Amino acid sequence: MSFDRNRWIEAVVKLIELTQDGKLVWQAQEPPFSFSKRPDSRVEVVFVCKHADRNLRLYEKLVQEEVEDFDENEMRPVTRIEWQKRVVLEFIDDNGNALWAFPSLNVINDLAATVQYHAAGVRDFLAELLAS
Amino acid sequence: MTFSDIGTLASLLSLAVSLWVLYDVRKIKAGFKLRVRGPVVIKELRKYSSTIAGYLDRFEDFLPQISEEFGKAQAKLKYLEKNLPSETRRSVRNLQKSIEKCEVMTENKEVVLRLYFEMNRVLEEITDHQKDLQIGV
Repeated sequence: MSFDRNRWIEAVVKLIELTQDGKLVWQAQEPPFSFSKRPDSRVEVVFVCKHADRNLRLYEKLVQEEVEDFDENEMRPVTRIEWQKRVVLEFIDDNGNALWAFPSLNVINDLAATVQYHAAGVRDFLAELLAS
Repeated sequence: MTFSDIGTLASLLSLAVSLWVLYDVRKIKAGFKLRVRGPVVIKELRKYSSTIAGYLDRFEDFLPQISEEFGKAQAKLKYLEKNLPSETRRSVRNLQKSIEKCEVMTENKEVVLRLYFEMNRVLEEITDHQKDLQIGV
């Protein structure tokens, strides 16, 4: 396991911490038009934020993938098409163009869950609801 | 060299070969177990890690729950440990020791965050090994 990857994991954990502490605020946005051009991929919403003069974008992408399976009745391999979820965290420029994407890490899924929770205002909603 | 010497030498050689085969069979068995059960155990460990991340958001309110998730992870890590190569096994053991030592309490949030990072680091390492097994490296 490379030292570099450990640094990226550490960086994502830091982003989770900053998001949970409210020091990093993510804005939900419509996905760019270019995202809807591919029929085998879907993005519903993207989250963007600025940290240390860098723009970050996070989104969940559903991607169609071919999955090899084995049909036990017909005793032959079959190919199925499945929608798989991928979470992407990337640096973008001021025009929203992707510059560089983080390596695929499981911890980015946790960041996505944290960002969705905060951007949707779940915490405030619960506090208000329970106080009313 | 007498026939007796040659016989002794052959016996020693066969003992060495037997030991080597025994070692290799154990390695294959461990690899096979990891290949079959590994994905399920790794998935469960990821689930515990994600749950901990969620609890970190309201750390003070979920101290016992965080402790419980680390406890569950500890049991799974113990199972995986036996079937891993020495380098990854060392990482898993270190993580287990860190979990044992960590007291989940209000003033320890930084330590818990560090442990969460370590857990993710080790999980990526195990996943890498698992992928290598699937392509037969």
